[in-house]
Amino acid sequence: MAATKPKHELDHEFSELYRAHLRDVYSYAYYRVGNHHDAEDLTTQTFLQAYRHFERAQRESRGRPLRPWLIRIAHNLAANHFRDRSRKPQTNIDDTTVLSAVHTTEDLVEGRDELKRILEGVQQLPGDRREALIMRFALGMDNREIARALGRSDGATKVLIHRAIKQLEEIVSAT
Amino acid sequence: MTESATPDFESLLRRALAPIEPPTGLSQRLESKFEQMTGAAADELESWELEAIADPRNWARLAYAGGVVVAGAGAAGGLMLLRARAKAKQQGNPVKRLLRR
Repeated sequence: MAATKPKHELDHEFSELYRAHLRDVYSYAYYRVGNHHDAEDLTTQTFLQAYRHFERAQRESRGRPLRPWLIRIAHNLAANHFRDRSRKPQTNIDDTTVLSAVHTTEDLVEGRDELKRILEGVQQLPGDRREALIMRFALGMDNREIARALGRSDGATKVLIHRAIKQLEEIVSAT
Repeated sequence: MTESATPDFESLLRRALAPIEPPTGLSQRLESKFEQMTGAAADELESWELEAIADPRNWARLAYAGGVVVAGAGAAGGLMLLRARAKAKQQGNPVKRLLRR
């Protein structure tokens, strides 16, 4: 049987995990639910769930990064969020918040309309393709991490991302 | 296989899906929730332990949880338990015993 870590050590490690990935989980939640209020709620629930199962996750990860696990928790909670409350993902992410908060003035002048069309296109993609793109481009996850978060093989994930980008290009060029 | 034939599009996509900074207060709110949870868990554990000590059915579990399974003590405890059971069997059900009096 594996030795149990002291509580304070676990808490310290969890605190590091949480600080390192708060922005990732929040970004994922925001792009899934489309508003800050629900994104904050989803982020809180994700970390509370993670806290409860942290020791086991650490043991079973055998040193692999825990970010895919966190994103998987957020992914499942987001699915519950839409199912339980019979809500659908908002089709319009609050574009003004995203565009003004994270882009430079130059970006805004040069390509605001284009970025807006891309964001709208992302919302039109099927769920698994949209999530894969959020993980890749908003969170910077590699194929292996995305595969673990989505519970797919590395190969299937590579194909999923490739198709998602192709479909998005078609959507954007058609508008 | 590259993910797109047009790297420009990927760069636009990266800009469109830029990471979102969490609200400033979120981090503090979360940390305070974790503190509440750890505090509540510690209180719960403490009161559970006190209650559990009084209940012989939990003795084995407590010993396991504390990692204090000493073979000699276990054997002695087991012997005491067997003796207590044998004595209880001899004496019978306490209600019946009262009725017999």
